[in-house]
Amino acid sequence: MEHLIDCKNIVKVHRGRGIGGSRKGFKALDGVSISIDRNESYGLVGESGCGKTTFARAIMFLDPPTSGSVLFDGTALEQLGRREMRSFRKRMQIVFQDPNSALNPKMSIHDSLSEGLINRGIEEKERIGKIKDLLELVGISYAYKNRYPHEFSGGQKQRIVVARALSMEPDFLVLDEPVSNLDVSIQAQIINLLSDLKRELSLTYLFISHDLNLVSYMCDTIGVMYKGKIVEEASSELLVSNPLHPYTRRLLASIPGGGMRSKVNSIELEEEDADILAARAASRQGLHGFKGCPYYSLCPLGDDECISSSPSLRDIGGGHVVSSGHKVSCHKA
Amino acid sequence: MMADAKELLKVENLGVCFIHGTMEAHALRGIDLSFYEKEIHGLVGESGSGKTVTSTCIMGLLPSPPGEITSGRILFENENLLELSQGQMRSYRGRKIAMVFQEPSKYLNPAFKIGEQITEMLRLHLDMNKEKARERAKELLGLVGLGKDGRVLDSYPHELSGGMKQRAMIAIAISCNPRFLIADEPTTALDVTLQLQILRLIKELKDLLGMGVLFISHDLGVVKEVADRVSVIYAGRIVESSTKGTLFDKPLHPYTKLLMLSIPDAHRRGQRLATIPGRVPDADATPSGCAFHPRCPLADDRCKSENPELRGNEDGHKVACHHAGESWNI
Repeated sequence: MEHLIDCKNIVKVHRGRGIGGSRKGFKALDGVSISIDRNESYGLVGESGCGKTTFARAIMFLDPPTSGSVLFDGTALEQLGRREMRSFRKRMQIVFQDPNSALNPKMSIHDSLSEGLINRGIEEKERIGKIKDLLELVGISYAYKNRYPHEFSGGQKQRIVVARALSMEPDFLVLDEPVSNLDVSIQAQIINLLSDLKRELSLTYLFISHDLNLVSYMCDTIGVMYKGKIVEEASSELLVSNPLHPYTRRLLASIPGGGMRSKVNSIELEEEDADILAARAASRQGLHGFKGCPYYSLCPLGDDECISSSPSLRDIGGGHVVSSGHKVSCHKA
Repeated sequence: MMADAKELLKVENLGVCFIHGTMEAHALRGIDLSFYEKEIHGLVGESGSGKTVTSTCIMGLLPSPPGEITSGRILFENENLLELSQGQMRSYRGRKIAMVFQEPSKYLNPAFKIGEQITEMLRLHLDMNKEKARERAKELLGLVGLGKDGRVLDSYPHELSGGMKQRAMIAIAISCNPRFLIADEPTTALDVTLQLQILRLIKELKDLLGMGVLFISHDLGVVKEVADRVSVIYAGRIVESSTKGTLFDKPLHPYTKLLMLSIPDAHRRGQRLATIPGRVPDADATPSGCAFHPRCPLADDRCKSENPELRGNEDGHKVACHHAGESWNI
């Protein structure tokens, strides 16, 4: 299958301010390369602060990457001018975590949904029809079109945000923690809706979440991100049944309820010894000074090799003729 | 579970109503809960179901007005906590009944060092002098895994990570050896790997100090991890209550079943998730009869008019449903 979006070596450095910070900066993304096939859903998991959202914003050029290239359906995004980028961006849309802050409280949902359509230059008559279709698509009655966001529940607001994203008829949708602010019973409704929409409209998803359970249910491929790097990437089945990176194993073992724990080597579950960790943290002066594996300071398998060199993401086809597509960056995998 | 376990705290028929002008919101509509020593009792429910109101009542922190306790008793050490004066309650709160909150950064005072915040409790409740309190605070930090050298004593909250702050909160809560600990969504704001560590810590401390724990969460997975006994609350009523094993193996209430089925995981790939249509009713518009009937796949006319009692069978599994245990096509 062809790739819809191909990201190569995305680096994002947040430049610090002030005397010390201006030179050093913080490397939020450290050479991330992923590609997503058409009509696939790619899950990006990792803990807060690991760079998931930064990555999504970077590849959509909302907050352009410091270096790296993004090829979207044959178009190199970094070569587009501002104006071209604006019109191109309608093919990629994003749904944010918190529907309360994503919708303008002073605009009725009809106005919120119209905004994008007006930008696309759609006449009023057609626009009304479109809004009706969109609301129906996400399961909100058209009769509510003149209501304001506060009159809807969290789940309904998230549906409206999805409808607004779809109003641009995108191929590619970034879902940034779309259900983590919702109640359990509402989460399932939104997840089902997203699965239906993907099938009906042949969408491609980049699904960002910290919840491995959810991502393994929803996505075809999963990338695990740690400190701005993809440390493991595989199909959902492979990643869950045979996690190779110690960090992935730790994440799986941490899922409350213990459903995944049996599959995971018990060594990752040991509580770290605070002294060892402190010593390791001291030996590792931030991302810039330290050349070794970023996970070293927490890794139960870490040794000298992990201090001296940072592992790169490699395919472990394991001698099969066809590559399994299971990639991991760990010396000890 | 533990038949010989001593009952520590008992909530009986607790009803709470919030009055706003002419509007009455019945947040709790008569709930019964029993807590035992060395046992973690998980209370699961969605937002607005009354979990936090329950805990504020036990702590004696219900804002009144607008809140008003309309019925019930909370029995702790042969006293009805609801009849105590504010002054009397103050000697219980923090001393014998302590609480850990969801967002540690909101409840730690940013202007005081962690050590000062722990010793404040010790000096107030246990009349310790400065040196002794500091010694004890150091011990407590070791107990919650913040290092035995007492380095954290002189840290301000902003110098600690989220997980460390929550550990510090727990140290404050257990500083006076409370008999009963309320943990209100203590891990919701944390990453998964930290979450597991905090859950384990609470379990360890419960055994070590012999506390009873009320553990409030919206996450069934978390409750499965940590609790010994689980109650499910919906629209201000307990709908099902049992030991953890029984509840997760044989849920009887359709709401509990649906909640479990609506959690995505790898095994359900390609299948649709079971959903509960609609949403949790607002407390000022609780449906008649069984509050769950508009969303329930088993509802019939009886459910619309008659509110089911919470009834227990011989092994202590309690459920409030006219159709308990019946199955349906999903």
